[in-house]
Amino acid sequence: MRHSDVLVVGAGMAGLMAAVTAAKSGASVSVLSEGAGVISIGSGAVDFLGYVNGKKITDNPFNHLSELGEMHPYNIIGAENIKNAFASLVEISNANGYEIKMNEEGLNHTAISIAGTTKPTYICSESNNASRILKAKKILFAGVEYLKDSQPALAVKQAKQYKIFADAEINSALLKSPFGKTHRVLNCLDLARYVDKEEGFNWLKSELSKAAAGYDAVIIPPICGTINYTKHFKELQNLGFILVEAVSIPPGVGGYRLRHALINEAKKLNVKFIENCNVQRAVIENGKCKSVIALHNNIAGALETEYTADNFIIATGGIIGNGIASTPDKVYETIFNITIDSPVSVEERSDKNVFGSHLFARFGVKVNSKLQALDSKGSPLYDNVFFAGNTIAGYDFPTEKSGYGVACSTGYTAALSALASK
Amino acid sequence: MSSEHINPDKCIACTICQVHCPVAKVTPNFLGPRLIGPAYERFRFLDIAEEESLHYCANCKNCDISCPQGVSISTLNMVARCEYTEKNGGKLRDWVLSHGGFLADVFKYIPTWMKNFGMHNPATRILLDTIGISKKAPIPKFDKHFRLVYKKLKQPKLEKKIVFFPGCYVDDYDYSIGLDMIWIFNQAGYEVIVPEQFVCCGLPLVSNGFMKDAAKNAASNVSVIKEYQEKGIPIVTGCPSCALMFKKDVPEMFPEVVYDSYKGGVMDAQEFLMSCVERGELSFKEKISGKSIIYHSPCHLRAQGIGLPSIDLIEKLTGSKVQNAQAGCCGISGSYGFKKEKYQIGLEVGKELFDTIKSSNCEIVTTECGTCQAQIKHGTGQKAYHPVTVIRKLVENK
Repeated sequence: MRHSDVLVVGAGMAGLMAAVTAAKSGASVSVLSEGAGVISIGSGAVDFLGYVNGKKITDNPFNHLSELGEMHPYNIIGAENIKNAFASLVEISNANGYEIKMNEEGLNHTAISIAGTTKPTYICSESNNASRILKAKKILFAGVEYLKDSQPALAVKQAKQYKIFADAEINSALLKSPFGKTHRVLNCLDLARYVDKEEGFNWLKSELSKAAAGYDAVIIPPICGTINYTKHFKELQNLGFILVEAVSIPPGVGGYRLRHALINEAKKLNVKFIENCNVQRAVIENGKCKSVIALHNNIAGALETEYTADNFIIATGGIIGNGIASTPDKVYETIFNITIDSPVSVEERSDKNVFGSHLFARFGVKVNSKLQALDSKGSPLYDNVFFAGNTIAGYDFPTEKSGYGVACSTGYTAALSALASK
Repeated sequence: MSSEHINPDKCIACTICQVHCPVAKVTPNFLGPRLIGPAYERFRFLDIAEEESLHYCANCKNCDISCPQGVSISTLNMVARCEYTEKNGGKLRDWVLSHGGFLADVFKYIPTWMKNFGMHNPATRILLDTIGISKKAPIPKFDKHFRLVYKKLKQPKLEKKIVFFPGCYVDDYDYSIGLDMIWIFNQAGYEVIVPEQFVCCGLPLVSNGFMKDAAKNAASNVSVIKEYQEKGIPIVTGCPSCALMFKKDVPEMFPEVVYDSYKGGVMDAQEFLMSCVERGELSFKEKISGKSIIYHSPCHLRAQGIGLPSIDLIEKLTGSKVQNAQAGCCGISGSYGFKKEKYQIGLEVGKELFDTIKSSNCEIVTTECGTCQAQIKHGTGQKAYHPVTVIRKLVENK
């Protein structure tokens, strides 16, 4: 049926988390999506909060929420919802074959990137947790022949600049490619898929055993499998050294594993997916959203279908995800056409420093604690519409390292609000 | 050929299409959608020689489905392939595979057994194998020509009318699906019109590089569609690939043949039937014994942006619960998996689906697409039926 208890627009972290959370409570849920959702190409590491005002957090990130200001989504939904959302994500992922965890003392994990940089993250797989090698004396940074995304010699140069690796000896090596030279340049996902198979796993095991002699720890690109990752990684940990998977540029493999787990859960819960459509507008009746109108196969001038629901969760992303549009005339949310406060001058919407904190990153819909959009007087615009993820105003995920943390926790909270308003 | 230019710069090079491409998943010989589509398109502007792995694209549209920026990647690939074929000439094999509708129409008065003997005897298969059609491929057998059967069929006189676009699979290989369609529309109170002027939708022509032939087909079909749209009669098809061709490829590749109120021209029949259910026009009173059913969603249905109406339709009309296989592409992509050098790729792509179907132990396998049905039979040994056929079987307890 084209009526659902809860209709979610968007299939990224916020949308999937909302869909699964709502469906777990027995609601009928449909997800409308344009594109497969960015999780599938990301690293799969869920950042909660790495930096506040440019300062790196070294203790429990929950201690720093108050420094973010009361308009930050974390403070709007509160610590309890964030904790429950993270616990739920870990449970869902683990139950669907991708084991991820939080630090037992409530600290950020340290992940190391394929380029040798480090970053704080809150939930990730054991393999991505590079905190485990901070005491290692001899570390090998290994790439794979013809895998151009990984340049271990460069990564070693970068890693040596960090204090945490100051006492370690770090070397680089290349594992022999199982494919030789190929027409398409290999990426991490190609190798991870190969490692899913028995012959691929044997290749990785034997190459690692050869290369790792004498090392305490080995860092490799994320290639320990996709669907068979958990099983394979456990076995590889018995090789006599600490094995770490670097987080990679897209396709980041970890994200592929995480999405697979979430989609698997959604499948068990009978969540319906309507892919490749573009939600054009909403139909409002008596102050409530009655339905949204979706354009077929994303082609201008095509037919449209109307989807009704009791409650709607909008997780369409920010400016890059097209949930928010920034034009010379105005900035607005694209389905309900909610105007977003912004400087008239386009230039003022960004920072001169390209790595600085850009105003446009904070563009989004102002919401209350239920995640309903607010009008200029601070009253909810529609009772049965809840926003999640980067469609919400007030946070700058690249500089805070808070992207999936906000997406996951607001997706979860939006679902609770939708369930409560039934 | 006046396809509107697709801007390759809409692509933000995020790699999501590479991740979801079923062909790139199984072979590193294919550059993948992002590189062969928007990235290579910039070289095409400079008239630099075509990328050698373009022929690997199966036109399954998973790149379009996964793209968050609305880039018509598959169309970029198909237009490039057609231009390449036009310059360099097409293969005889590709001509044969893509002109099935035309050939079948030429031979439609030849008895079915004779056509099948001609096509499927070992000597012909070896001959076809030498021109590049794998002798192992599950090429469907000819059946009675649907529209010849339709002509002799007596339907009840019903006030509401609907136009049915059968598509080549129903026309040439399985006329019973067409009869099941007529049955269910009659049940919903619609008399079914199958215009004689309809020709192949043109998707196999586009996929095999024959853009000019596809343009001709599009023009003839759209003029028929227009005639009925003007009378207010809806046009439907049970084939997801034909529907997608009318909805997406025709307006994108042949904008000169479409008109303002065209709106994709043809609707998915199952979606239309679902709206009949919602309007109260279609329901069955019979108690139907519960059978376990697994459903495969063809890529070309997922690409339409209408969800999976057949699941709702079967559940609503028969009360059975349908399991959605949700296991990706079957690997056949029309005629792609018939080709000698693609046959193995097709089987590897379909492996997840075959495994899912086999391990489900379901009594009934269902999917809309004819060639998906053939590939599922080939990969699992289990016959797959069109959803409307399944509904009829259950309702009539056959």
